[in-house]
Amino acid sequence: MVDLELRSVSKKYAGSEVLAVNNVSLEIEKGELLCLLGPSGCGKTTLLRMIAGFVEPTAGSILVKGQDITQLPPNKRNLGMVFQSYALFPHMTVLANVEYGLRMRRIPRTEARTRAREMLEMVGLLELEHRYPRQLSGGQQQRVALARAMVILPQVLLLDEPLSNLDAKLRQQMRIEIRRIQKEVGITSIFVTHDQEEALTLADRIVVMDKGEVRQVGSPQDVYDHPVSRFVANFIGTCNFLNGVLEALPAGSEPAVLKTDSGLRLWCKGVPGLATGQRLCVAVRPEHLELAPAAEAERESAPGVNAVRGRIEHVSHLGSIVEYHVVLPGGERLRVQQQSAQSAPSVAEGGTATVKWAVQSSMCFPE
Amino acid sequence: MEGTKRTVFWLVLPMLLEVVALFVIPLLVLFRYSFYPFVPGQGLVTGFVLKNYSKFLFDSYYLEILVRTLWLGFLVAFFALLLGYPLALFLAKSNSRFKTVLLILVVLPLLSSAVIRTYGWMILLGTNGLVNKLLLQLGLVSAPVKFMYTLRGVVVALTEVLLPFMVLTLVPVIRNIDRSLEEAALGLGASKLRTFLTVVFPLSLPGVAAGSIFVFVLAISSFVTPSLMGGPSVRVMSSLVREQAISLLNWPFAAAVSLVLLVVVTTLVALYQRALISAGKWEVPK
Repeated sequence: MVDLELRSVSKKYAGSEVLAVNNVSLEIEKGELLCLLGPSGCGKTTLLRMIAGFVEPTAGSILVKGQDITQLPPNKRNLGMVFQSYALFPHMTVLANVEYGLRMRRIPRTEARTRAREMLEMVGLLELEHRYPRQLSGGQQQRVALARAMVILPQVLLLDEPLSNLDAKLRQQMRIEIRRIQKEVGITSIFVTHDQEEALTLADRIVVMDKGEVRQVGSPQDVYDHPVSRFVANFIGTCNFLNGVLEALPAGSEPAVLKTDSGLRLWCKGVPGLATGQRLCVAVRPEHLELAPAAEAERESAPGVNAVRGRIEHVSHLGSIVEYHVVLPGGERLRVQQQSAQSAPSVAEGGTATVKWAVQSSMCFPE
Repeated sequence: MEGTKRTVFWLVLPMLLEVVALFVIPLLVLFRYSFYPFVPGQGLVTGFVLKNYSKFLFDSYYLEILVRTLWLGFLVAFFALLLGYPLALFLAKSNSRFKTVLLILVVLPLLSSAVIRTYGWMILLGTNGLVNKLLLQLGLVSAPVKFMYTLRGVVVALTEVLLPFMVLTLVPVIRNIDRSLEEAALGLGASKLRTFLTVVFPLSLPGVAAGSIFVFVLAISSFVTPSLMGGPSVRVMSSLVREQAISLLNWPFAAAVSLVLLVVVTTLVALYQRALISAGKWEVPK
């Protein structure tokens, strides 16, 4: 069942030339957690604020459970919002903050209190109900904000970068916490973030946005493994990019051939609609690259596997993985990641090595 | 740190010297005078009597002046708040082009002297003034309202004179209320009115307190407007001091009356500062 539907929603701010949000259509299933992911200024927050009713769309409509709410003021929408700054009422206790939405709905005092306490128990803050927001830590304020938004049983929960004010460790804890509560209540949620790691761990589906437009919609794995464009590949995870011109189309069992700008010839995966002479960009994730001793180079470069020799410029140990920065003869730099346990002792900083990757693990984007 | 402290000391010193020489020392002299006996025709006679204070505190005539002064202060603060709050709310919230113009209009009266503004009000509020003509024409009153030489007139003129102080105190307090708090209230189902009543207004209370006390203090210590608008029939503390000191040459009694007013004002300024400090108490640490 579709809980929230956006139909060709656009927003153009007064005095601005560009569309902050350009013709976005989305359907969000009941109980789903959807992440709006993109760099700052991509329109994700504007989109969320339009759903909440704080920003009026220039065009398009917003539907909750099939009912058009585009013209409803925010206080008539029954959506829960968690703000980046938490926006807890500083002059009210934790309990009063959580009860606020229920009081505005004229729910009897005793019932409101019971429901607020239940919600505080769920976020694990019942013992702090008489504190004021200023007496709470950032993580506790975050939980109160979550409880306050959910106690009114909103049709959709909207979260605007709720973790960006927390330190790294707490952020990871709260991610899991939010996911747990969201699943427990089964509430349809939209989570805005610019942090790709956050989106990958939390979301059922990710919507990648850039310059007001939706670039890709898919599961975290889908978006990571099969990005549809160079932008998405670059924004989610890290990626090595090699630019060049298509020299030969796939023929029989042989893949296509790309000649990079520095003159290197590489096998690359073909995509439909390619023509020779076309500019292409080949992308490979660092974990799909493999390092081998330099001598292996030419021998391994069979169709299906690329092998390029390069100089190891820098090695960084990142705990469970080791990252190598390899400079190719043409000047391109590649980042190679290997599990620490597997890293070959023969490839040391300053030495030469062969970088190998299977054509199947690479991606190809026409420019 | 040592160096910074020394720099601060030298920077503050000129002002400190000025305050001590022109304010603290005269005040101590005044304090001493207030215990001198008053012998008509003999100028200042040294001595120590409590008569000046007992004369003030046990004479209903003088106490009435004190009560009238405080009542005047209350009325002016009340009306300044009533007129100033909506204006401050608009100035703090609006993105209108006229905002700057309006803010200049609020500040503009401060650039002209209170004497001139009070004369303006005297013309407007006179028996045949514009205000009375208008009230009569509209049929709101059957006979001209007496503004001149009444407390009513003093309240009208003083409220206008002191309104900028109320507005300028309230605007930053209201502007500092996080906008997302209002959005949070709206999102939780509160109407605009209830958002104002439950979130914006309570959070602006420190500003309301500060502005009201500020205006109150300025009103009870004002001299020009009550003397011109009120004349001899609306006596306040400041006009009493002037009369005793200049007309009757009773400096010891004038000194005692000034100090009574000073104690009242100082107490209120202390409250004002506490209100300002409590404005920060709701800050939520990040």
